[in-house]
Amino acid sequence: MPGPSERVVFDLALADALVTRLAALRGLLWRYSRTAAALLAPLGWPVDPAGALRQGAGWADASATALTRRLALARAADVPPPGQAAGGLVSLTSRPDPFAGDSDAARAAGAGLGRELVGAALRPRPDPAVLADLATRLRAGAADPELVAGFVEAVGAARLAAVLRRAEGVPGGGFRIDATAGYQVHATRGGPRPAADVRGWRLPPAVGDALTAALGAALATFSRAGRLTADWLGRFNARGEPGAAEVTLLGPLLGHGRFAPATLRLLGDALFAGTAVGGDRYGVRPAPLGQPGTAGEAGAVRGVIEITDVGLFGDEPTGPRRARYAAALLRAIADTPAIAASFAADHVEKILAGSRLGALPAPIRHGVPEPVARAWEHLVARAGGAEARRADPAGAATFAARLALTVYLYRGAHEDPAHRRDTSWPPPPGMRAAFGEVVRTWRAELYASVVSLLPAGTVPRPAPGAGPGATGPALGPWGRRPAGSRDAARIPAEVWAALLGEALAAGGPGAAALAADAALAAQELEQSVWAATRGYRGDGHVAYPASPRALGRLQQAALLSFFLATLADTAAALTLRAELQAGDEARRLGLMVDELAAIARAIRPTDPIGTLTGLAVTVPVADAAAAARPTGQPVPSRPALAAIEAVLAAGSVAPGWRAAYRTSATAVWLRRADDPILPVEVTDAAGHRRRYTGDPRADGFITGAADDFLDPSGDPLDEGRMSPAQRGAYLRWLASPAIVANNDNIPVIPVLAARPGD
Amino acid sequence: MAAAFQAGRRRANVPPAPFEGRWTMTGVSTGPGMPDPAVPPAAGPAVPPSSALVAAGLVANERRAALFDAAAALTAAGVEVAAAFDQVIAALTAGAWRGPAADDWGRELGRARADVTGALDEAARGCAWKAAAQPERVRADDPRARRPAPLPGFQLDGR
Repeated sequence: MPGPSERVVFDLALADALVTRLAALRGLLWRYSRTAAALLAPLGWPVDPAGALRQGAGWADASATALTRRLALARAADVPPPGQAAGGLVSLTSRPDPFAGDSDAARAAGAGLGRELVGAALRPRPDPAVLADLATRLRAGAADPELVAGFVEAVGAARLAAVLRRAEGVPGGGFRIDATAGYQVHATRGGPRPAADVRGWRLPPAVGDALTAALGAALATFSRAGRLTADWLGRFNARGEPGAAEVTLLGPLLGHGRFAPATLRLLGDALFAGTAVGGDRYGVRPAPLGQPGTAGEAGAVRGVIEITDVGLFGDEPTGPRRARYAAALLRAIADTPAIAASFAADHVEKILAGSRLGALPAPIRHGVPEPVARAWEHLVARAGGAEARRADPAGAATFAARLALTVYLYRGAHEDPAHRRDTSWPPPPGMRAAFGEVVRTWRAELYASVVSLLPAGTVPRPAPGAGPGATGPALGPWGRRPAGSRDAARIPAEVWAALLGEALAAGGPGAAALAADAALAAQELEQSVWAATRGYRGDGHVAYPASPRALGRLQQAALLSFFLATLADTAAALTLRAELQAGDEARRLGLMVDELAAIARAIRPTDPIGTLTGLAVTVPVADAAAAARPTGQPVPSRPALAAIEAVLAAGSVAPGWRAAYRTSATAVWLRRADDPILPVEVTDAAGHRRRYTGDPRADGFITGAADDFLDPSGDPLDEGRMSPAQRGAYLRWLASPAIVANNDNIPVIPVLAARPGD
Repeated sequence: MAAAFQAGRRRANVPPAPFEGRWTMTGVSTGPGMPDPAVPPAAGPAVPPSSALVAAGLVANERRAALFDAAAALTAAGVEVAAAFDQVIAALTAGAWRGPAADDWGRELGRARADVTGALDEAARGCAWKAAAQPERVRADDPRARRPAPLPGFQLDGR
């Protein structure tokens, strides 16, 4: 079935069924051709359908083979895997198949190419022109899984490592090549060394790059076919030693193809297992390759050779090659949304510790390579980003929860503003910006937690010196086993505040965007409350103690108060740090506080839309003013701090507003006999006219025993004893129009008062 | 197909009945000339031979029975093969593979189905016609009085 390039669409599940049915048809036709012979030959072949049956069987056989290959090519195509919404459809432009659907021919061609490459690359003095030609040919077939399988099998893992050393220009390595035995590689023990190494010969960079790119694309295809396993990597070293994986050689290859998530995860886990960031020094050491359930671990359990990520024989563990490999691997994982969040969640404590270590000022020789530090930031931003959330909702929620908790616990352990103590190592600005990405992605959950009438959850208390993953419960937002995407909504506001505060400390446009998010969330809350309570005033003859929208306004004020309090805490922490430090760092922190003051001034708690406009105008002006100042100030300016204080004072909602509201609302219900609840009629968000009486059963909040939150005497149960269903019904009832409108004791919203400058 | 084949074998074991004049089968004439090609002859139940036929030394024509058996088996095979082709066609039309090459291959698939099922139908009709052209009774020393021996090493039911 060869032909020109064409656009094709495969439904992978159906196409598998098609191939299976073709194979069954082939078998049926073949059997009936024999049956026809058995029936008709003794009769002297009065008729002969056997020929047609054999021909049909041959056609079905060839079709099944060709279609299987087409499917393999489609699966190996370097396009993102099909998403949930696409229903398993793969749409791609297929190129002409040079092997006309013949898998064996493709595999044989790959094996031939492999043998040619071994002979050309491992000879004492390789011919660059021949290698360039081989690289071009390999690149052309690198997306063909069968050609690549034949190629990799013919080359072998050990000789491939030796070829990569040549392509990447890695000298030494303690191995020799035996040209008389098919270029087999061995550890050097006094034997001959290849002339290329002895004379310091190197491939021209262009040829080396072309070869690296072709091998990268081919190994990515090999990986996506599920062949790049721990067992295979256990032979991937130029010394031919069993159990040693020179994975650093893969570094330059990772950017030339989409490697399988399983391969990336395997390499990434080994990378972190061998990375130490404890104390004040970054360290790397060989580590086991293969987590529980993978081939490496299984081999170790069986007593076979344990597979180890040895980095690169003859290279420093903390050398630049290893750093480039680590950065490339972390970026490849970050750009694979299916695993980015779960991977980052498993290593978040080490990532943050390393990032803080890497941001220590110059006199300290922490040893964190710059590319690795930047890759950590990229990983956090992508794992907490929208794409990872779509691809892996549960993993993304777990990552957000564990990231926020790690930041919260660290701040709690190192910062004590009341006693003017700050022993923290601040994360670098890039990591703080990455926190901002996470906060923006989970904005809805963050502010839902802030305005919830009941606390979203409790913060686990860690054992001294242990991270949240080690101490938290197995399930829930803190555990290593994600329980579901709803976990992000169970993160308490105080934990979110820690992450938001660090994100605000990045300053600049990122901080302004976070403020805009808060204003937007407040506006959305106001809009939803309004939409659900339209037309409550009725005929004007009934006077309610309060508006049914009063709770919404209180929540809106609490939301902005939360943001302002977080901003003020951040400014205070930066100020304290600036005072404890001196010099350039203090000036930089002072500028950040000025920026935060500009954001605080722009926020209008009663006017979210005006806030959005103000943020757009005021903050860039403040930025420009700060940038124009030649030296800045040694400590945050007093006007800036005063502005933040003023805004916070004007906009703060008392911390106990949730409990105060619940008490007042419950009182409305308990006193209903003496003080009847006035029914409220509203048009809800769906446009239906509804009448609320305040009775949770009559109003439909209690539908049965499962969500009945009243005890036999009609009082609300203790909140701690409520099931999730009862709790949900209780919260909806508390916020229902009749309960809100009949409440004459709703906590006061102080932000309604005019403040200086308005 | 196996069931049809076994049914044919059971019919072949029915003991001879006396001759009762002209033999007829439902829808099939045993007279001179070929039957209507659009209506394949059916392998109807054999009428028990009369004692007169036995007395005349005539026995059942085993070749005729074997041809009818083959016709029945080939008809059943045609039905089963058509169903297998239809399963493949259903997967393709449901969207397993779409594109110009898939369209071409779909046409090949249709042709292959027509070729194979057509060959089986034609073979089944041919067997039936040849069976119908055979006398039902032959002399005991006629070669057709003996059941043709199956080829060694072949599964008769195609399994």
